Amino acid sequence: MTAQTKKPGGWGAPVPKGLSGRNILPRTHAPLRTFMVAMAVMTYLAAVAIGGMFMTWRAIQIWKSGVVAEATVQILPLSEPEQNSGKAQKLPATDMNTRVQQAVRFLEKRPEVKSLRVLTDRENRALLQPWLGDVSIMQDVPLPRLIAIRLNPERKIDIAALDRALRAAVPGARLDAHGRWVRALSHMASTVFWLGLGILAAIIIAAVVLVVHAARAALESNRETIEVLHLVGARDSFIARQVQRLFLRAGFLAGMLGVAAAWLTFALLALLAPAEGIREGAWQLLFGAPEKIAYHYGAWLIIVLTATTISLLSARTAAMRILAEMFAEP
Amino acid sequence: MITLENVGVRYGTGPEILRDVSFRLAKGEMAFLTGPSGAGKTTLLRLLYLALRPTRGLIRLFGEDVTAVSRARLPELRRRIGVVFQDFRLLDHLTTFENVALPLHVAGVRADEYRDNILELLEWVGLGDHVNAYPRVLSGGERQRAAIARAIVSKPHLLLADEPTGNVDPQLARRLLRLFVELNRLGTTVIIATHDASLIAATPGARVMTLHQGRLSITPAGEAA
Repeated sequence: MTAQTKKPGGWGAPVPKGLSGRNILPRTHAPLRTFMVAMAVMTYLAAVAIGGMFMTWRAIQIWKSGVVAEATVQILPLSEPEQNSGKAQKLPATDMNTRVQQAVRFLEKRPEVKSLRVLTDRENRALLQPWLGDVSIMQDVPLPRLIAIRLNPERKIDIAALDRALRAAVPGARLDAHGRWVRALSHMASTVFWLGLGILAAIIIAAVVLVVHAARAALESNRETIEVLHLVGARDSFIARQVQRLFLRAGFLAGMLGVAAAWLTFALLALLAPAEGIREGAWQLLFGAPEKIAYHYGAWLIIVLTATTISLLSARTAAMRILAEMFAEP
Repeated sequence: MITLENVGVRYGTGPEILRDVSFRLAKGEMAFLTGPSGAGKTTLLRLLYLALRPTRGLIRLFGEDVTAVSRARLPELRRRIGVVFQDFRLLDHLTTFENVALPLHVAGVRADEYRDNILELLEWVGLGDHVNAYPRVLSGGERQRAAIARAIVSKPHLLLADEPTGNVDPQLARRLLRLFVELNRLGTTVIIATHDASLIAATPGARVMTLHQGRLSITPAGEAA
């Protein structure tokens, strides 16, 4: 091999760079395109699921904070035995107003209560109207009086103790802190959270299965190339690296595409959703306070990274296993 | 270098393609493998380039029993063998230069270490003007020479060629043969499977191994027709 070297390919021809950074397996083939589309759809679903989770979570937190901050005191009409017993005997049995004033004085002294407002009789009856219709016929029926109170958010409040003290101080009074609603909302929040996690887990499992199948298809469609690589001395790990490179790029692009499509979906919701709550929620998800949206965008970035990592690791593991199966014996 | 003892190959439950094949080839020897189509030439070459394990018998390559060698060890042995396929087996999405660089790349050699050698080799096989060309635009002879360049680029200890002149004109066939002879002079053991009697006649120093119905007979060097 002593031939004189001259510039290859004639004057002006580019000097070859070698194979570093070059795809040894051809990149453009059907299995990879199918994989990219399916992976993009899965990352889209994952991103929408996470966005929806954030929106629902936020709405629940707002409702919950409103419900937790408020409570209602009911002053019930006294029954006859109650009228004849204990403290009530010292008061005129029908004097609801006196008991309301008594309750107001009691509540105003309590540090747990930030503010209060006594609902008028008219307001009370208006509250019943949706259920009973025209309540004018019930003018003579005694109704409980209601006091709406705002609780002090800076204090840790023992609702049960406050209720006991109120009942002892004012006959026929009781405190309703909407505990049932708070429990229901907490329940709903954790259901949304676990449901979201379940959806993400299902998507991840489906993505792994998808990559394994796509890797097999990619290897099958490149069988001849792989045979040549084996015959020139390539190890399975070298070939698996080539497969993994194809899927790394495809997984990253699919992840970006899916998340971008999810962002567009929420942007459309923020602009065009018929319900104001959804518009507001989607807007807050995309363009809300920076410290809050950082979580949303962070989660989406994690989806892209997860899609890329799943593609990378699953493709490598699958390729190593499939190569061992496909070319088990020389 | 190569020892085969009572080697037999059978695909599935079919008849034996190779029967009791035995021969030894020392380092630096050159041999032709000939015989009618279907005699088992390609199967014997496949055994030698470790694409197939025998059904029975013993094969030793470079002093190692390759019938028992693990799958993980094969790449190392294959890197010492250069193969020229009848159908070239060039990768269409890589340029001539990249195809030839492939054995060095998979062995972990850096591009700046092999670039000049490959350019020189391509010049030597007459492809200096086709360095950046893709196989699709090369003629049959040019592809054959690219495949030969790929087979010898890593300076293999053993070169196996399956009908290397099957797709080229007689003039180019003689040129390719000279190339193999020169490689053999440089110390590479060469086995060429061919139908071409003129090629065998032009190389009196080579042994001739003839396969007929799976059985091998050997004519010592210098006694070929």
